[in-house]
Amino acid sequence: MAKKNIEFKELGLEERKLLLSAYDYDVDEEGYIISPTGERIASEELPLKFLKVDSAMLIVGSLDVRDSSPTVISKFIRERIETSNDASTI
Amino acid sequence: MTPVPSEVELINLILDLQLDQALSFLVNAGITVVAFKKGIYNKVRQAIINKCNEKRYAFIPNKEEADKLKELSKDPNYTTLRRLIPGYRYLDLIRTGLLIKKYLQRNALGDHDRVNEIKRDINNRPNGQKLLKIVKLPDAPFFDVITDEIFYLQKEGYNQTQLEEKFDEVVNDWEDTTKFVKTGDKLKTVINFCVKHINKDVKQFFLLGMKTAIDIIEKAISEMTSKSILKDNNYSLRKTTKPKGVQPRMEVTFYKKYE
Repeated sequence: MAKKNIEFKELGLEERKLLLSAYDYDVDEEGYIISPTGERIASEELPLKFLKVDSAMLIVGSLDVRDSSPTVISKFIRERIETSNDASTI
Repeated sequence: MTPVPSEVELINLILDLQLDQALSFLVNAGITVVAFKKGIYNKVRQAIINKCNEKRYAFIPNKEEADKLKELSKDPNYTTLRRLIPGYRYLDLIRTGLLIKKYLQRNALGDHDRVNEIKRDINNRPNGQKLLKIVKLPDAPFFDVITDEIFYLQKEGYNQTQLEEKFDEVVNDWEDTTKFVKTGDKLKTVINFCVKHINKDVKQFFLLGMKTAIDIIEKAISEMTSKSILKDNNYSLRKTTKPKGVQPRMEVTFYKKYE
């Protein structure tokens, strides 16, 4: 199994909106991301916080929209990169 | 006004571009979210989705910070803990703490503000006070000591669940149960610290010292031993001296023995 080499990149605001819309996400007038089912997306860490287009982490593959706090990014690295790399060395 | 290229032209133009470049190209070409929603550029939209499957990206607001977090996969303290307690629920906070340590060491413009922002967000989470303790630990001199303790307990036969619970227990109390002995500290202060925790019957507490502070620690241990303070209260200790840079460093773990 090849090692997963996931690259972190920055993306402009309009580019983010276009990418989200390719997957049927929307952005409301306050900048909150709206899921394909029509709801704002809640942060997995902070109660009552919803994800905004300029600050969310957008993981491509199928599009996964998450918080971009250091702990959420750390979890992503651990689950998707480190675990995959461990498996590839077995 | 430059006319927007046809769909076929657009697809050909973005064919060899990476995803972010392709998106920028489309934005500059006037392709909008509205166009996608109205189904005007469905083939271009599909081409973007196909590009999403070509290579794995995560688009984040701050690439430098994300790359720092990724590099921390190789940090020896992190890799040790990940190997010893891979299921520890707050392992990601440890990595965040190492990131904070990097910012504090670098001390560039904006770094302290960023550290405060990270800590504030963590504090606002449910159980924020405990989470803050964990995130502060990697920047503390006791991080190595606690990691060594977990490593020692693994060799003694603790299973993974027990190690995780033990680490959580130690981390919960580390700010109260650790003392970094400095050169100017009085012997009595160090002994009082130890006696206080012995009287509270804590499971473990730690001393750490470098250079001449090692003498103070040795004297404290010697006096407590001569007065049978440790023995009478069923405490024992593990002492290690190791080089830290060019200086020797002494780490002492006092622990309650349970018969």
